[in-house]
Amino acid sequence: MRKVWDVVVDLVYEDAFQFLGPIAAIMVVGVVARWATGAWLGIVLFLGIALALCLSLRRALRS
Amino acid sequence: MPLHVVVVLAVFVAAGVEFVEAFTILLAAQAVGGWRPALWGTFGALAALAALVAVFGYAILALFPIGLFRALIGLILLLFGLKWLRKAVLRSSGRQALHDETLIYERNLEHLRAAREQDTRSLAFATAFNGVLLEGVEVIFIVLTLGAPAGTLTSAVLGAAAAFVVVAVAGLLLRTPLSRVPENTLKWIVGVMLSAFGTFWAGEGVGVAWWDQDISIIVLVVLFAALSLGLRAWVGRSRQGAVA
Repeated sequence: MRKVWDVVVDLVYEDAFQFLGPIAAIMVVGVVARWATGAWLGIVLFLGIALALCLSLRRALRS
Repeated sequence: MPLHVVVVLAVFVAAGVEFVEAFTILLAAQAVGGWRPALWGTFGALAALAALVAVFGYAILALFPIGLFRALIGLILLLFGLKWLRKAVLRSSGRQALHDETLIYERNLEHLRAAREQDTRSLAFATAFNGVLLEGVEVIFIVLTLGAPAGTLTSAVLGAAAAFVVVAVAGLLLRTPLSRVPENTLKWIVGVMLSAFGTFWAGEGVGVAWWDQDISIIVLVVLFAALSLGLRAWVGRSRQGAVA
């Protein structure tokens, strides 16, 4: 049980920006796409993913 | 122009775009893990596609949740792509050793090296499988939607087959120049390509209306390439600042 918990903590804490960031960006755009359409949603998606990559690299620089 | 010729041409162009995308992903997968796992992934996807068509037939158009499928495979490719892009930025800026395998060898950690190679092969297999499966489903949709209603299914299949042959020959010709690209540059290109394809499909799956459909993939490739080059410069400066 402890091992499972450690894996979850590692995933959320260490890789949050790398893995959960893009997933969060896709989910946010998916929710917004229910009310609005257009190519600008694609730009928002790219920016969200770019932000996740920046934060992930920032974390790698600090470690 | 006779209807059959129109259908052949329309399917040739539409399926050709999908085949180019599938071949790009196959080449990217083989650059990471070699031809063997990439081809196994491709054959696995083709077998899955054949099974899908055999089981569902025309009903595949109504039953298959293509949006959910695109979002899921887009997300998987995006995560693979970002992983490679992150590694490429850290390597090229000098933050991480350029060739991890050499470092591992020097430390005499053969088991770690073997595990790493296994990871790379699995990644190549999964990337080729997912990419070819999604593109294959899209080709099936194109053939059925353009060929079935007008009773020109044979012409539609001919158009798709011709597109496959043309793209396969072009892909094989591209193989040699690609093998001359340095390994780390190739991995950076793979990261950019997978991130762009992944973003496009994931976006399409959740309802993004991309500008000019598949042309947007080229724009995304340019954006991810520019982003990673900018990040490389930023990481390089941060590193120099830390050393000084």
